[in-house]
Amino acid sequence: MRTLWLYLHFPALQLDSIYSGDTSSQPIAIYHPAQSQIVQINKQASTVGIQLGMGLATASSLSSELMVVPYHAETEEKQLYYLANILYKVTSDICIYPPNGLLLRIHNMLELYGGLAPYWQTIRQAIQPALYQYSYATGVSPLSARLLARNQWNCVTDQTTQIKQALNNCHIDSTELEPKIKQKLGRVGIKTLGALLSVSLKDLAKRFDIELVTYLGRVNGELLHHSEFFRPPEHFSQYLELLYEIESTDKLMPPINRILADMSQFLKARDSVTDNIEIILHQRDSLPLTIRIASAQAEYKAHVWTSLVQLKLENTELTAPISGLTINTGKIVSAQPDKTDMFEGTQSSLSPLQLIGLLQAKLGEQALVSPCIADDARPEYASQYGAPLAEASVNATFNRQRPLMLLPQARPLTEKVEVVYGPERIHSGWWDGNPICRDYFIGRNHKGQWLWLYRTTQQHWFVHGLFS
Amino acid sequence: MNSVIEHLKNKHLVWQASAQTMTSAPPLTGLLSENGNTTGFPELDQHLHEGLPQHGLVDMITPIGIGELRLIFPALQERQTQQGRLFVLIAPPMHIGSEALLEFGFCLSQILIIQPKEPIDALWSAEQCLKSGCCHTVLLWHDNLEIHHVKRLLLAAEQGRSLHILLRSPSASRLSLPVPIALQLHPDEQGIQVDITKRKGGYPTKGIQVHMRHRWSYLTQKTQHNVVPFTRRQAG
Repeated sequence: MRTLWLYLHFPALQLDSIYSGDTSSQPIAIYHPAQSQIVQINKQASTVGIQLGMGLATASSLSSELMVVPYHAETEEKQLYYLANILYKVTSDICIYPPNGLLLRIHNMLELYGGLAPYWQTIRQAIQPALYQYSYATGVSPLSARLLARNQWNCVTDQTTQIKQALNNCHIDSTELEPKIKQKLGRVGIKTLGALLSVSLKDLAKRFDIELVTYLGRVNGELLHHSEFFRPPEHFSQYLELLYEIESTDKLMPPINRILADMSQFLKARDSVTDNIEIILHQRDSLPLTIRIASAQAEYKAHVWTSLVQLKLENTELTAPISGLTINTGKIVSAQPDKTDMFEGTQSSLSPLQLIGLLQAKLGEQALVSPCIADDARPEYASQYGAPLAEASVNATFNRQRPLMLLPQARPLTEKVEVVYGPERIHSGWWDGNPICRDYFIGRNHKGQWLWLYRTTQQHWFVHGLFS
Repeated sequence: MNSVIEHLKNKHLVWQASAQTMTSAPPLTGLLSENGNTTGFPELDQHLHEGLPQHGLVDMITPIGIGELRLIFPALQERQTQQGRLFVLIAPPMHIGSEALLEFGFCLSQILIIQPKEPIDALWSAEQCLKSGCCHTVLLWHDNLEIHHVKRLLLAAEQGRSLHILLRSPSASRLSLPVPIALQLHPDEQGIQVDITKRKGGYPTKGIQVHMRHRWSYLTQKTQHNVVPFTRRQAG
């Protein structure tokens, strides 16, 4: 079967990835420091007359409110992976061409979508919401597709003759040949790729080195072009750069929601859930601030995480302006369906674990406990607080006249009481260095409170609890 | 009774205030009695429409340590075994003894204790727990409740079909709150004294003596002639 490739070229990837909110009327330009020229501009910038390839001084003299962002190849690559993730849902073989290209192998997908037109429609719809500028082209080989897309051919076809014609019209300067070879070709009067292809390979091999011949072979699809296909990551991690530095936590929510929505899509596609996420706030002039948010019940839904994040951010103080943020997911597990009884009368909107997640996000993890019991005769060791809703290890039934309210620290008895029950001697703990020897009584004071009292061997009296 | 009234009643043309709780609160499960959880103390139940309401709000004004929790815990334990939802205690004034909870028959892994740092957080957590629908009862110790707080909590309790019990100390409770049932508890040698100060669809009743001797004999005082005066021994 004839191979067919589709190349997507994103000329302004970094510019499009900057989060600028909904209303951005400011001209923005991406400046490449190494090439010392403007490489990407938005619409507002081009209306004030800024053009690609301008120097920084010229550009900034054209507009006083121009915002200049330095070019980062890394940011673009991250965005490519983000796009690849989106496209992976509709197409299988994706190659990443850093810094700004994606190559799709499409001939094996056409059967599924029933032709090129529906397939292209699906691809367009998949990348539409990301609002990126792009140019595209199909080709019989990876390199031809790339060449045509970078020349903004913007045509999707499987007609070889059309592709060939378009290739023939490509200027030599737009190819990926070495500048030295391009120069040589120019000298012998070869200006377009068509002219170059009309020369027989034998003759070319005589006058030029092997590189040119391999390149042409790859463009023609006669030589195999090795390509490594994208595999989706197992964890979700996304970085969003903010156009404006944010100083208050409530303004952080819209960009966070945007990432959470993507995270939700990511998890949903894998039918998995996560029980904790990590938000890294990249601060200007100081170390990034990491906020961990745990949910007792693993979730994938964006709105559940949004409410937890909101509660957590209420208690977070920002010390420096935030210039970007990253959200990483923790452990990802496959989703387990809720098994609740349809005929049970009560319909609760939250599960106990969701409730705990909600409360912990606001109050802190240590504010929530469940009582638990340790196998110890000493009352202060027996009654403990443990992790919320942890299954009890010891679940004996007790019948020992113990009070419901225990004082955190026994206090000396200072009032007159009438003893109504006792004594009960507890003599224990000699093995771990905290021995006690106490006689416990139940007494009633004049206010009518039932006190749990003990007498030490030195005849000191203490109140240890109240029978509520 | 007048036969005309009887006739009208049979046709459901006469509405009686005493039927109010019954109509507003359909039973959760068939196992429970129609309009309440019996407290296990018949002398109190007969004044309370057969016990605590299924959901809603109960205001209890009580000092700590006179047996106030013993009065309601048997009913709450019954709720827990029947409904299997969470039992939440918010801002208890002291450490809650696990051994005593087990003695009441509670399952410890279904009890949640919340210890918020601020009183306002306690109210927030109470509202969240009530609304969530996964808690059968929420106990809240809070002394500075205002009317709008109580209204919100009541709505939340109705929404989540849970029972909210407020515990307030007598010194802090000058304000009368818009609650369906308000109880005032007083210490008693044989158990506890209950004043029903407010009840929807009923008259307030004072001085109900609840006997606890049959359940907790060690927490009652014997009759006067048996009392041995207790003298405090000097240390050393």
